[in-house]
Amino acid sequence: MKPTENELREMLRQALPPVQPDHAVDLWPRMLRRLDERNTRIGWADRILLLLISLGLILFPAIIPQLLYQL
Amino acid sequence: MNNHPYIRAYLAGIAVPTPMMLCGLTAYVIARYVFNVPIPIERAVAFPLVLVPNAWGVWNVVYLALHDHWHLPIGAHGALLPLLLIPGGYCLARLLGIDFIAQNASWMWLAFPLAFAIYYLAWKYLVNFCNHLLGVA
Repeated sequence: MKPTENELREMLRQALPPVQPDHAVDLWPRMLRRLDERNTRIGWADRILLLLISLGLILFPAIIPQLLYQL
Repeated sequence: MNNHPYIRAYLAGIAVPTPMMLCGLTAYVIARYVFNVPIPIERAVAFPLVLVPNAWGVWNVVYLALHDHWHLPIGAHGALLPLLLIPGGYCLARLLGIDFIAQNASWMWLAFPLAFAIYYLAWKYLVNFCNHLLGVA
């Protein structure tokens, strides 16, 4: 005996797992987890470099418009 | 997150300079319209507003493409970008007649080391952070 359309639909529903569409997944918790796992520390050499950059900009302020244009 | 790594690398690259453009444009507008500094703003903003962010995006794509073959740290990779941007910006300034850049090349001796340092730090911390966030490299 052939299954009816409704029975066929029910059998298919039982055989296949429910599909969750991509847009239903909340990506924000994943983003927060990634933000949390990143613990960046600035090394002493980079601090010195930052200091030298600041010093250069303070001593030669005329370079600022050029840098704003180039970079 | 394994799809389209180059598009994600491009987006991570432009994510850093794009908000900074706001600061740059604000400084230009204040200089031009508040302090009446004679800057041809319409011509001067083309390079920093259009080319520079795209160059960051493309440079990050290049970093990802070379990552498996050439293990250059991301900070050093980023520090190489001013080698293209400064001469490119200078040439464009000459072509467009942006005098405050084109007629005064004496600042370049300081611009290069400063640009290397700024780009090194920006790429090491900011672009690297965006890359991590978007699952690039």
